[in-house]
Amino acid sequence: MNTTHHSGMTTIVKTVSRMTVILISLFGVSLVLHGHNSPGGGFAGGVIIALAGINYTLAFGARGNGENAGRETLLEKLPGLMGGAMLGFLICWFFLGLLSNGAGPSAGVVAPVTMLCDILIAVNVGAGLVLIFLRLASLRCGEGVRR
Amino acid sequence: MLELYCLVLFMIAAAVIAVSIRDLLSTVVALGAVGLALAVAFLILKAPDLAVTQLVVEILCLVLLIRAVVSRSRREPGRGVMVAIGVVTLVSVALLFVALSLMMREMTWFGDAAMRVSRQYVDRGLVHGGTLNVVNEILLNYRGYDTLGEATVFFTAVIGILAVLRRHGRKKAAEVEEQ
Repeated sequence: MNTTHHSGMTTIVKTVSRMTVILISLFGVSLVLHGHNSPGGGFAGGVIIALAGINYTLAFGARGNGENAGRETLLEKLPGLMGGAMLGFLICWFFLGLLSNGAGPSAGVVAPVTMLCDILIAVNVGAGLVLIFLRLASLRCGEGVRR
Repeated sequence: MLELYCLVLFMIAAAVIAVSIRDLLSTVVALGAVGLALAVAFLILKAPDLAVTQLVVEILCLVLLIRAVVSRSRREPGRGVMVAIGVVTLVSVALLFVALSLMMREMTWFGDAAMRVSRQYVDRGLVHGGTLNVVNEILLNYRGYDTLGEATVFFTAVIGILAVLRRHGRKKAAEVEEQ
């Protein structure tokens, strides 16, 4: 197996990852969107979606030290996405009736809000995990270049 | 409430010391004092599960931070120190088992919930929430504060990691040596 940071893993791993990453992502999205009616939810779905991205990065390699401009842009935007998801979750939870513990809103109102909360939690968790991984990966690559 | 105010004042003082002191090991110890006082505060506020979690996480963080701080000046411990560590470990494990066995006498049987509130969650969750996944309903409805807190803790942790691992604005080795 090729151990250099910039070229990723072998063709077999890349081919399999190219096919499975989409399936893993879809599974994660399914867990998030059906979390209110079946086992799953925002935390689990967000982690699985993030793992799909991490799988892709591991298979195809991580470029650090500012060489990958797209990923640097992503690293700058993801904290804002997380903050937006947190704010959205707070608004959903606080203002759309979940705070009343079912006393106020009817069942038909609460279920969509639950799904929305799941989506926002998934964005928060997924973006956070991807962010930590990419930052650590770029740091490692940067050190490798300097050596 | 007086003891809680005393604890809060203690935590504020320890946090100020942790920020202002220059010795890294002293900073870590002051930070540990804040965390342990927080665990006691959780216990006073009738949240023993949070107190146990806080205690475990605090001890783990303390060990990691102390290991990171003293790694450069680490020396191999002597035989006497190793024996002492072994004895202390054995005594600690024995005490832990005794405490757990005493605690188990007070516990109810598995499946027989000691907290009657949780039964209300299961009974009323489907009616109130309108969702089939009762676990998700409990997490987002009855324990909404908890979930919001978890999401906030995760968000804060990620921002903290980004601040530690930032690329811009870091001092270079030469600048640190000059200071």
